[in-house]
Amino acid sequence: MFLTSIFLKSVRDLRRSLFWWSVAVILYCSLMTILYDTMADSLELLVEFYPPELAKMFGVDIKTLASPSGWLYAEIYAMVLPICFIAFFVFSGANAIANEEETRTLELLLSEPVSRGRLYVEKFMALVFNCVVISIVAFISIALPSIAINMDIYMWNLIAGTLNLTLLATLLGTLAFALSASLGKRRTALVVPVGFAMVSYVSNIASMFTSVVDGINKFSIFNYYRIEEAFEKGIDVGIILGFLFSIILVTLIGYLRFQRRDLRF
Amino acid sequence: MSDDTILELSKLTKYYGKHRGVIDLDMSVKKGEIFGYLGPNGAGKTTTMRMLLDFIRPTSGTSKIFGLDTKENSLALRHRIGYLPTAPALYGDITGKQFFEYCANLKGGCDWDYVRELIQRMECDIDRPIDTLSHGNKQKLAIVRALMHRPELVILDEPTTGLDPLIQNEFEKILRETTEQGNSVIFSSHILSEVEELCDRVAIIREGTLVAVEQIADLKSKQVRRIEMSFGNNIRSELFEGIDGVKNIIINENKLKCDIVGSLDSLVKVVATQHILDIRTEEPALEDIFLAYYEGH
Repeated sequence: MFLTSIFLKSVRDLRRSLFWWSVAVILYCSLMTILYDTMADSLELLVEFYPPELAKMFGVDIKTLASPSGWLYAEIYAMVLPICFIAFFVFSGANAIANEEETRTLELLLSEPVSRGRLYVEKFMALVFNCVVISIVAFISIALPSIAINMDIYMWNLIAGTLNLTLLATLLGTLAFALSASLGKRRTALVVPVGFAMVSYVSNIASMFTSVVDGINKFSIFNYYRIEEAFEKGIDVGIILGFLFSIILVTLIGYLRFQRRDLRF
Repeated sequence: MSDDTILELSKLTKYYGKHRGVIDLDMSVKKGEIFGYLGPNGAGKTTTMRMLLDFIRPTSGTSKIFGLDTKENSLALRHRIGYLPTAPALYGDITGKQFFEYCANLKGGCDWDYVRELIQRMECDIDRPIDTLSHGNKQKLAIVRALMHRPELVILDEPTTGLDPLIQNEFEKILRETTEQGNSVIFSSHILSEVEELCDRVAIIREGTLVAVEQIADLKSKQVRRIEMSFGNNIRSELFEGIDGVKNIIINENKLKCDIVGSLDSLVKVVATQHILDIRTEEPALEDIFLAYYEGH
């Protein structure tokens, strides 16, 4: 069944990776959510004594830490889950075409009656499929325990936050994918999005302390990662559309470049 | 392009930046022909084949298969072409059977009776993961994949690498049957004897440039062979002077070394009058054939 199309073969190729990342996400997210139940009281005390500037360094507003949404943000959405998502999505994106090109299986694949366009689209769909699966896994791993411990969080807002994270990581994964297709070099396709994410993150943190980086921060992807707002107000259509537009644009640039270039094997 | 021409290259040129790929290739292949593409490693054989499959784009010139431009009609052409790359890379984590299923699905289906026949004739091991197979067994899978949809044109880049002699014979039979059905084969190699066995015509490429396109019989007539003979008695050099095609004669007491172009007939007739202990002949290196060409053209 998995060998009937490039899409299904690509999903099959990542099945083990997807499984283990999912296991890690389930364990971490459910554990951290459940911990809120036992930590809630002591969090009040922590908030009182924790230096706010130090919390800010990790992108966390300490005053909100004791609230359910503040806890989920600080412990899951501020750093750990974005790192997991970015690592998985960028790794998957960078491997999608460049790995086949570097190992020369692409030569075999494209000698079949398969257009470069079809290959690109099916590989991209497989990437998006994996992104969606792991996002749903993360959402369920937080939602179910939060219901179990009667956490006071509006489920729609939790969806909004997870969607914001999914789009952020998908954009970086798409960048890796487009570079992988444009250059055929896995290493470059890995390094550039990860470097961009790191610079974006640092720029975003720096912007909390100084206005000097405000200009640069407009280009920071983390400037548009607004989980606390999502937990409070739900889906921000402008941000969602911005991410979607960027994903489509990067995908299109990669597509055009892949169509035109010489393959490297 | 005449009716029976299925492939035509016209001034086909490829540069990788400043580096030469191939320059001004002009040649054609006819329907039902096994066409050899001969040249040393790095000469430009694979570059030519990759342009035919639209993996790389020509710097200038055109290539047409079945009258269609290979760049503009790449997808349509790949339905009609079977391609075996040099040292093919296969998916290691699936079995040969799964590999054929995947390829058949991408091709839009194929005649499984014919595929089973090919698998049996090539003695493919299709039940083990490809990663666990030897190089030769992987090559057999790749050959079956190239032929499984009965392509009208088969493009084979160094196909016999890793095949044992029995399987190589069977493979040659399959190729002959393919051409008997009106299909054509382009076959690249750096081994002259292999091309001699199979091909009707051969193109010789060297440093990216086409040196010659010849009938195999004509090629053989220009072939240089190195011969070493030992005699039961000392021999005189005058005996070998003036023999048609013989050159570079070295005589050391009872031993003769020389190069001969074309037929051995004249030399054999002369040495037959002597007491011969041993005759050894070396397959000519491609470089020697090229030198013969340069001297002849």
